Amino acid sequence: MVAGEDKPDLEVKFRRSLLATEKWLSKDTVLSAGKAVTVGIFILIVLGPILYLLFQIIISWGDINETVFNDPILGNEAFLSMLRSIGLSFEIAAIVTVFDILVGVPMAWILARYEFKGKNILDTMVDLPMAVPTSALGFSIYLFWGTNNGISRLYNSQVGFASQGILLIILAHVAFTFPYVTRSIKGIIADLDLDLEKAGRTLGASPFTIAKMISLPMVKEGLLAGTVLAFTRSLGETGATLIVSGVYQTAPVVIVSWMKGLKIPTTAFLAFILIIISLLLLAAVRIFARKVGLPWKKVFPRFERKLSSKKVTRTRDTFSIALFFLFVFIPALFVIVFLFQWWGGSPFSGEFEAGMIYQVFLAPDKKINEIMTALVTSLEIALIVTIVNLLIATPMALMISKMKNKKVKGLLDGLIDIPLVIPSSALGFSIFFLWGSNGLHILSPGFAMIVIAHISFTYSYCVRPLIGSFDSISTMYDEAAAAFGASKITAFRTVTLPFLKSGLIAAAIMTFTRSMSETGATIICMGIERTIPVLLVDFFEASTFPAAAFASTILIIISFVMLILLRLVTRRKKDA
Amino acid sequence: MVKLELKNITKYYGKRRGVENINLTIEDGEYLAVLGSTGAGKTTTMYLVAGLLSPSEGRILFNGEDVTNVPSEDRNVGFVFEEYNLFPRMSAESNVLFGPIVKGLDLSDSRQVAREMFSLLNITGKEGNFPDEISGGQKQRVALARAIVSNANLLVMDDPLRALDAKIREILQIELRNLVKDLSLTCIHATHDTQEAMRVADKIAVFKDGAIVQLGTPEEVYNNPVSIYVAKFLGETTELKGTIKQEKNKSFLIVDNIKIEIETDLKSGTKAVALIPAELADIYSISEKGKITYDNIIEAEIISSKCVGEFFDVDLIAFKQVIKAKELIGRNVPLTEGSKVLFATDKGDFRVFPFEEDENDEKEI
Repeated sequence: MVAGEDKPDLEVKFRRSLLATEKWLSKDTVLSAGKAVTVGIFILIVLGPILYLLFQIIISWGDINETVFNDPILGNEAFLSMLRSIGLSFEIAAIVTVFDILVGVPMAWILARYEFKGKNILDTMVDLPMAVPTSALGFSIYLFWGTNNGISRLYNSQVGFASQGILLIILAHVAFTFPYVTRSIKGIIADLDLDLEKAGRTLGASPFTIAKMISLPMVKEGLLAGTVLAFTRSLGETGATLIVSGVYQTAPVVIVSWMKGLKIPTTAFLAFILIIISLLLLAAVRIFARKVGLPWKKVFPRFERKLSSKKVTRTRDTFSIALFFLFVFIPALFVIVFLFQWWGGSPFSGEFEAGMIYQVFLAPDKKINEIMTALVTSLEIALIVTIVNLLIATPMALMISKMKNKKVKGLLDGLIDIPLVIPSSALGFSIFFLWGSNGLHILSPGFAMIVIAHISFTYSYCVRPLIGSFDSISTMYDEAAAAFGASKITAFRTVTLPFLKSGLIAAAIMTFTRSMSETGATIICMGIERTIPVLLVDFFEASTFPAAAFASTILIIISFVMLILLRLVTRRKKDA
Repeated sequence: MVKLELKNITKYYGKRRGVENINLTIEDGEYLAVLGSTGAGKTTTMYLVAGLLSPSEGRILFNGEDVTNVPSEDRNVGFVFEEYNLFPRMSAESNVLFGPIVKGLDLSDSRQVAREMFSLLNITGKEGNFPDEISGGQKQRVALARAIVSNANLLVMDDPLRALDAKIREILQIELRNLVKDLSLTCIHATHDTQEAMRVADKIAVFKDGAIVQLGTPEEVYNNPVSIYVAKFLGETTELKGTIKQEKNKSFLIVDNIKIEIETDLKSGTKAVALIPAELADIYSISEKGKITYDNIIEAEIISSKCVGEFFDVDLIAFKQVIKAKELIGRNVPLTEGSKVLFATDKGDFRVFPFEEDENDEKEI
């Protein structure tokens, strides 16, 4: 009897103290302090490094002036090569984005509007290149287009279709930026009100005219967001570019190679320029997105009617799907084919020592150990980054979602996107700069610094979907809970959090995947640590392709599993 | 400008029936209302006429010309949707000019027409407003202008006033009819509301389960509903069941040994149902006895009455059952509960149908 009475007592006590704690936490002063901490962490991890970089550039302008513009031997060669690399990056990003739009928009339309067998599979296929680490993707694309193992087999050539260089960079960037455009408008197209299109038709507009005049204006903002994302991802990518670029150097690759050569002031200056350019792009888009009208208002009824004919639309759809498979899907996954080709030996000479089995498991350097160590490091980092990010991103997302002051809200909302658009190598560099020996001198390159860099650039991936989740939860429940006497934190725990579950899981998977696949920032902050995407680049540079293929395949499998999980979680959310 | 014919039109959605074997002719300049409850096939019919759906079978003719396979954008039909479907990112004027723009018409003419439409529909001044800045009634006026300005000669409206509140609805019903008649458009207007159909149309087609059950002028449909279903759909009624008796050129329905004079061709001994519309069930005070001339006058007791605006909803007991009546407000009749009154009907007030067991299913409308 006594024991039986004790137990509920304890439980009641626990609950009371929990409620009391929550009540204390809900005090206005404590809440304000919490908000301050949330913003503080954001500043320390995301804004701080960038601001510090700016600050350093200003105070050590003399140094920079000397090394960048007036080197005693090289003169302004450093500055010129910066300009060249930035120019190249822009050219590539522009071409890639145009391709993404031309193929990605019809693809989004197909996925949103048509019902066909295997639609879900195609949908997953389109998303896959986004989840696969870019170094694995770049390697796979190099194998497909750039070696005699891939496409050139079809016409019996001894050399690849394209050698390392600009064309190959474009092909690689197309593969991993492609999903951004499709993804960002697919949902919007699916949600468009079909009745508006019916209204358009009864008024005499052909389907093309309707798409142009009625649907496109509604998709405009999503399309712009996706385009900016694709553009900045191409502009800032390191992993795949390192593999396919050869002697050509895009700006992020230059950062990595200068960093390796410890040319700190010049690297700082280039990172700074890249960050400024990306920020200007982001700002321009956020300010003008709503205001910019569509470039063409004029209607050419006859011509547009022709464009709406079954023949034209079918050709267009076929082309989009064909281009997707040829330029995105098949090259992206070709590494798996390559792995089997080289499984037990060289497909050309039959030599066992050239095969994957020997190189990975039997050779004296035991690459399997390296791979496993790197894999564990990557998983550890990704896990820590995900947990930390959920903890710091949830209050931020809640704060932004509930904020009443529109100006501050808009500002914070924009700042959140910064890590999304600036090249991760530049962000990684500014973290190295602030936390390392040039700044606070708390950390040296290694595990902890990689973690901080990853938290920084995955921050947006975590906050963004959570803001969406919070926005979709009606405040009505909060108010109802408050009416029953729940403190704010208690209301959050009992009422809001359950709604948030799938949003949190989705954010976690996104963060995890993104951390797993990063190359650029990792290289800068890693010291002697190796993550698996970086190891892959090492293998590639050492020309041990079968080992690289083995590592790539592991990465692809992991990302594939993550993607399937993500789809399951988000689908369940839709059903609920 | 257009004579519209539907010939044997059938539309199935997979296995579900949309409409079956619809035959309908709407003369040039005629205003037809399609009346029916949800699921009767109204929207399907409207979409078929506009080309937003294609029929499984049958043909659609405009002025004798087969347009069955002509796509919607080439039919020149002005369509007004239940939910307005104004383009959200365009101003009211851009919405109205959308048709002329995409058809490549001369815009200066169209602007002129649009201006006239705006003033005809009392929405002048709203040209620059976006759809989310104007009221429901104004939205539907803009939608109407949009449908007409694009040179439509056939106006198709799918329950256009459903989403509006009662007062605006009544105003727009009158505006609509005047506009259509002024412009001498051919018009087909679907509605679930009997009053609306009666107010706007030259002819009414009553739909049930995807088929036309009655077609006629409002008076014909009201006075001679072809089935219990139609009679009940037209308004509140009370059902009296009994047996027909023909006697000296007069027809009676015997209910519980009480003789009610009615009009019918049914033979003596037939089981029948007589429906009395609530608005035709008249009530007088007892003191009027002998002063009024009706075919049937009977004493009745009021069991409840409720003022619902311009009239009272009254329940009274007569012929040993509850009868629903509507009494205009302001008449000198004691409508308090329990008071005795005279319940008066003419033989023509009853809609008489042979009694069939399965007709009971149709009570829920």
